[in-house]
Amino acid sequence: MGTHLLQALGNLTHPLNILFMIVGVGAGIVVGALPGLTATMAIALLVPFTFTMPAVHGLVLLGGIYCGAIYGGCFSAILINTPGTPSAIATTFDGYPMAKKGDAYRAIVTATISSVIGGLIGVAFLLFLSPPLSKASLKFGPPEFFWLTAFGLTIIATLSSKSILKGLIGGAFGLLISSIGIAPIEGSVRFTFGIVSLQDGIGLIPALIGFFCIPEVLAMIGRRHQQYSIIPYRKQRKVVLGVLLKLLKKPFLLLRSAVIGTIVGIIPGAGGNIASMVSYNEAVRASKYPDKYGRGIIEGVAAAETANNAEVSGSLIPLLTLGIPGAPPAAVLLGALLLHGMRPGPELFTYHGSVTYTFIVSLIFANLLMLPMGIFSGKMISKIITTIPIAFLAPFVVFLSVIGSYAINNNMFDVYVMIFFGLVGYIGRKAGFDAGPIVLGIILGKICEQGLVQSILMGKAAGSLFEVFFTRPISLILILLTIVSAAWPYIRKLIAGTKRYAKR
Amino acid sequence: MRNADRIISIVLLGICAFFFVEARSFTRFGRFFPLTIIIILAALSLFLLVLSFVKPGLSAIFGRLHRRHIAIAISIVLIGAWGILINVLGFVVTSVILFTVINVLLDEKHRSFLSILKKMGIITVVVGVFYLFFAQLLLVPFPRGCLF
Repeated sequence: MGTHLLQALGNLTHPLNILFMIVGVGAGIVVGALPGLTATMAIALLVPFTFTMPAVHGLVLLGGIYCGAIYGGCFSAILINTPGTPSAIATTFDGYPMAKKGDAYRAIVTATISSVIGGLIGVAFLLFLSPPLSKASLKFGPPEFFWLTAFGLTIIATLSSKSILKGLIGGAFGLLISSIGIAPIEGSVRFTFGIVSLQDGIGLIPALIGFFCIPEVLAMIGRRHQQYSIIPYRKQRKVVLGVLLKLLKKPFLLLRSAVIGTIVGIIPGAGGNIASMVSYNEAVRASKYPDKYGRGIIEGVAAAETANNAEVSGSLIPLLTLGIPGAPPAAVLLGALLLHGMRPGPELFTYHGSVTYTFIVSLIFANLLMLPMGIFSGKMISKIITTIPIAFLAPFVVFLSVIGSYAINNNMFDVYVMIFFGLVGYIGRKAGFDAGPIVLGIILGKICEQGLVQSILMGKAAGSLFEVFFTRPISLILILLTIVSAAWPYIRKLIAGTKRYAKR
Repeated sequence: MRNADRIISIVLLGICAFFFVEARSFTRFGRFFPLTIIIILAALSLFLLVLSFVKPGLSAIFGRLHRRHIAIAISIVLIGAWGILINVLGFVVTSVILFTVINVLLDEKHRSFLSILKKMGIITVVVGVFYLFFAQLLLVPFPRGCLF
């Protein structure tokens, strides 16, 4: 690890890496600040631009965009009461009331400093947890991978969708899509309907672009007449130092929020919106003056922003170690890794160690870059929110979607796949089906099927399917987690009901 | 029938039936996973269908027809046309035309001939820059079509 870290630091002094980091964070902040453009969408659109770059440049750029976009969401949350990205939803609770009281600059500075702190704590977890976890993943055989995907899918269904049933349907639909193409065992050609291009399966990047970009564009078109009234603000002296000192006096708030963000990030499918909501909720519960929350206090902004930026690195932990993305933007990053021939797992930390550690260390610098960029360019970003017209933005995103999905394989079929899944995603979204469970179903499907079928073969060879599926220690833990996660909504209801009864 | 959940569940059941018939011809281990998923998806869809009668939730996806729905519908058609026309007119020409058309569709305030011409100029530059970036730097050969 030490050698790779030194190599990583050396790589990061390369002028192109520094340039990509600055461009990535800057572009990410702008994208995140624009309501309707999400981090997932930005990464999905930019993955094709990185495919001829060396892997290290591409990952540094995408990492910068990821960090910048999650942080950038705070600008519109504070200034127009609309979260730029779903992760910034809890930032509106105290950020906007602060802005209304004339403390917009203070709120932005609070969001910036806590985002940096949260981001750095998250990267520390990523840096120190990933290598041992990737080594532990060597103990994972087909049954463990099968149960891991089952656990991931139940989490996705219960956390990332408003309705559990619709989340489960979305996940199952994604799994079905993942089975299109040649079967991993016995090589059957499945569900191609005579289309040769489908033999390779559904392209991950075109499907991701379709599911995450086209529905956003159509939603943007639907609300193009919406006018945002932005709260003007002026830079004030001594605010940065004042906020920093105040936040440093609240180490537990920052640490708790960062740990919540990282843990939520590690859980497959649970994104920054859940991290910031849980963290905000815990901050209110732990506070001596919970009534002040929601009326514009910096603790509220700090709790939300620390968590959602810590979640960025948290979501990369299961991705880099097991190939299971912790959040939708991480799912797109998986596509980028595969595009560069890098398979998640221990190999990433050994054979590709130099690139992987450069990527992880670049996240530290990306988080640090947010400090000057956020504080000094806030005025410009707030202008951008109101000046870029949807009439230009919407066709521009479609243009990037077309160019991006074509460029991956120089294949028009991928463009059709992107358009098809874009429409499916839009109709699904209108009917209450989130794209998250479908996409994660597509990603987890191949791992799930391989794990399931290979485990059956192992069971047949061993003479007992039960032994293979239900007696291995890691499998047992995963089965337990799967049962708890699937039953969690009902357990939560039961606990809430008991509490209400006890109160009465 | 304007219940969105009902329509979606019926469509999903149709997909399950179609995929089920297809899956029967696969090899033993080739069909095991998809068949399991089809059965799970069909059971969940059936549950959603029953729920749509017992506890109707979402009434209609788009509700009453509104002007913004027309813009969305036209945009969907134009996005579809983007994919089809690239093979005929080529990447650059199709992108400039459809980028401009969607822009004009959405920007109701600036539809004079002069402003459309101005926008087309800006869009041509944007498309040109991306085309050169991909074609010259990333060496992606975009479809040329009959024009360019």
